[in-house]
Amino acid sequence: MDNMQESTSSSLLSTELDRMTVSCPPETMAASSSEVEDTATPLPRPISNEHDMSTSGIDCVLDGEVDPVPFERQRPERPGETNSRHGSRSDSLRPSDCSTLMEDPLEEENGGEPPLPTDKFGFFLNGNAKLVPTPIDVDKLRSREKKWIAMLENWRYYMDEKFDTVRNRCRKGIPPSLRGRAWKYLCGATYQMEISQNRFVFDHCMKQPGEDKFVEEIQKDLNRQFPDHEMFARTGKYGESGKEDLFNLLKAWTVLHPEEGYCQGQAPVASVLLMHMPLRDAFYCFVQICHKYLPGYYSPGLENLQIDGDILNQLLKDKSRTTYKHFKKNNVDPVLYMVEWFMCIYCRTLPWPTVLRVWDMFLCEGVKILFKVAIVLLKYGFGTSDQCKRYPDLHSIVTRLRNLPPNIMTEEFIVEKPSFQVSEMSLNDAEMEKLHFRAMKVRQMRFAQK
Amino acid sequence: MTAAPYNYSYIFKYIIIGDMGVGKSCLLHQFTEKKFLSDCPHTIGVEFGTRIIEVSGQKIKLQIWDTAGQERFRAVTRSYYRGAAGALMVYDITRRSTYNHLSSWLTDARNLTNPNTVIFLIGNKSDLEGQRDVPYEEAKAFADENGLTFLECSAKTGENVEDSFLETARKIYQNIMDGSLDLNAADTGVQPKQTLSRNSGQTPEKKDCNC
Repeated sequence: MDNMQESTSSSLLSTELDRMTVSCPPETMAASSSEVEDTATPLPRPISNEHDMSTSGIDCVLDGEVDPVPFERQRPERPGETNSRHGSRSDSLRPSDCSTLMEDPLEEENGGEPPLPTDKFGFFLNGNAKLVPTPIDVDKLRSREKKWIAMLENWRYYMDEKFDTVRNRCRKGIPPSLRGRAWKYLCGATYQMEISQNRFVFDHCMKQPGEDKFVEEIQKDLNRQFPDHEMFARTGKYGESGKEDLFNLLKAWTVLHPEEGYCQGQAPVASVLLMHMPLRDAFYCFVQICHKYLPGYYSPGLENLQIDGDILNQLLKDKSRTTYKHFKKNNVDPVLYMVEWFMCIYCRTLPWPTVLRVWDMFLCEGVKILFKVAIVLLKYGFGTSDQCKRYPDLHSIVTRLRNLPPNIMTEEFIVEKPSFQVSEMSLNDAEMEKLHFRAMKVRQMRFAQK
Repeated sequence: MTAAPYNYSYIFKYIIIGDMGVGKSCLLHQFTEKKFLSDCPHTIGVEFGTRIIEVSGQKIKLQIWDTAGQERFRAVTRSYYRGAAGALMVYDITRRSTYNHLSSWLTDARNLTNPNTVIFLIGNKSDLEGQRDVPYEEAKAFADENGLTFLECSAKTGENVEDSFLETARKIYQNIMDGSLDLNAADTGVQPKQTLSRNSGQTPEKKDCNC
């Protein structure tokens, strides 16, 4: 086990791109008891501020390399922790069932402006939409929360010995109050940011200015990420700090990987993470996703994304022949529809409750979840000859793919229905490996022919 | 959801290309919805739009493909060019770099479409005259040199947006009329009405289709 830990710990800086299809790097037990109170107090604010750096005691920053200084603290400081603003909460006007996110508006700066009403995820309610509280079975939720807390406290044991339990609980949906923390554990970010020598990488990357070219590209996209979410909106209390975090996260990534730079597909992913956790945590999760879950997706050339497009096509042939044939007849290439789906982990495609459920499973089980969701959407969007006839040509097909019927995108349908869970949709790793190998071969041959 | 009745004579496929942030999606949105969308989400991959227009009394359905502008997306967007009858090549008049990249966009547009594809150059953000970084005359000269039609537009105010899309369609239509565009050739990006599938909209019959 130690070997494995060492190998994961070095992977942040290496370019090793070992794709994870099943689960995640082992967490360590050390990341346990001191964590309990950490649940959900994300106060998104940048920690670029000199003062915070020095109080947090991690300003022992390094030039170009990971600091070999032994890890002195119990755990590293988190953004906001040393900040006295914690005392002044005002969650008065937020929906009572708001179970996510930030606690603490920067009151003194934004004084009298009444916040616009949002749904429980932080998205502004548009126009006449009323907040309809979804009925919650409180007892069930509490019991799930307890189970999750117990699981997070014995994380290594569960990952090593009871992975099926972890997976099944992720499939049932992570309780909102623990989602951010659970994601960090699932993807291995907790380990990276607390135990491994990579825990200093964030501070190092934050201090670098970043290349102009990337900075310019990132800045151009800041106002274009979820503009209807309170954290990224132009107006409201949180918009500016949310965008500042988003900028810092993406810029830090480009400092870590100047050879890769910034890809426009990354900003939505980073935004979703920032909706659930503070900047530093989100950075480590983001890095894990880019390194371990979707390596090569965002790199110039988008090579691995295209390979996965080919794999999806092959899977479609097995899992939904009707769709496959119809698409083939009309030259509907996977890159016409799957680029955004896969790059953004569906966060710009599915309704929000479904997005979160998909992310819960994705962070546990890896990239194959992306394929499964795609198959469900394609199979039920174009699975019958009647549907195929109604969308008889390329343009009508791709247009429908942008406007899939809402009923096949609900969490009940995608995640909970047998359509997703049962063996019909099972994708085992061996099968995935085989398809991947074949797709690579085909691409190589095509390339050679050119 | 069935397609509208076929009250148009042709379908033209357009593609919109150009650097990131020049306003491709906003132009499309302005043209199809007649609205300016500030903070328009950036395109990842490709987006689609449709509008029916009229040229010389003929109704024409435009199918518009709006592509991601970031350099690395070219790896996938190149496959979108095929069969485009019109290509709208967009730069931002307030950012010279987007103008400087035009020749590489033009190369793609020429190589990946057919010789009859009408390429239209658009200098967007003409409402930001104060921040202009590319003189009109310079772009005009570039367009003339390369045989492109050129207009400066504003997706924000809507100025010239309609004209760019319509003028492109007029040119394509003209090519059809004078015979330089052969409708029987592959990938022209033009579909005349008679080849359109008639099945849709009818009650589905149980037929051979084993798909």
